[in-house]
Amino acid sequence: MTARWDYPNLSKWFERVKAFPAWKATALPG
Amino acid sequence: VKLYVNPMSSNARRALIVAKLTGLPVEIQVVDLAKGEHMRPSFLALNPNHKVPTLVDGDLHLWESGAICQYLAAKAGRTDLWPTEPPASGRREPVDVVEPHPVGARPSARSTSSGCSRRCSGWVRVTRPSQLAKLKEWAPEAATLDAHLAGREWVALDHLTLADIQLACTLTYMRSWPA
Repeated sequence: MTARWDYPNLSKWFERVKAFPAWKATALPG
Repeated sequence: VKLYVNPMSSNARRALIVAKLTGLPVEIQVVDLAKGEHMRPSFLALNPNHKVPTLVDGDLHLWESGAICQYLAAKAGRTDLWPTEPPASGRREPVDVVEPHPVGARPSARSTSSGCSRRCSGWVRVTRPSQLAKLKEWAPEAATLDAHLAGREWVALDHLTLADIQLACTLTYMRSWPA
């Protein structure tokens, strides 16, 4: 199936959240 | 404070992130769901609903990730994460989005995570048609949120709040969409 993600503002916001050390520290490996 | 989690739970991750953000001395205890540790009497004594996250602080036993996040923020005095004052008059804030589980009623993390076929860069790709259909149901709300985020950095207020954390942890499971 084709994946699609057409929400640019949502994507930018998500990158901001992911930049927090607390997010990285709780990420699953892989 | 002791926090019972499992790394596969996005709800538990919310609590973990807030625990780290607050800097509170929280002891993390991983509950092995595959081994049924959540069904053992010792855990049921903490949370009869046998779910993670569960927080224990002295005599307090707390579950539901939203409640735990709010408790941790309040205990740490982090009113930036969980504001105690209502939005300033005239300021347009997304009260509905601040609700801790704004997307939970649609494709919850639980409904989509059970069929994750693989994990990549923090996103989980979902391939089962039934799960893709659930994700598609959420598309209108994603569009609403996308429009809301135009010209602003955070979901609510002008800085990171629990609303961002709650949403981001849920969205971790929604990177793939039906065409």
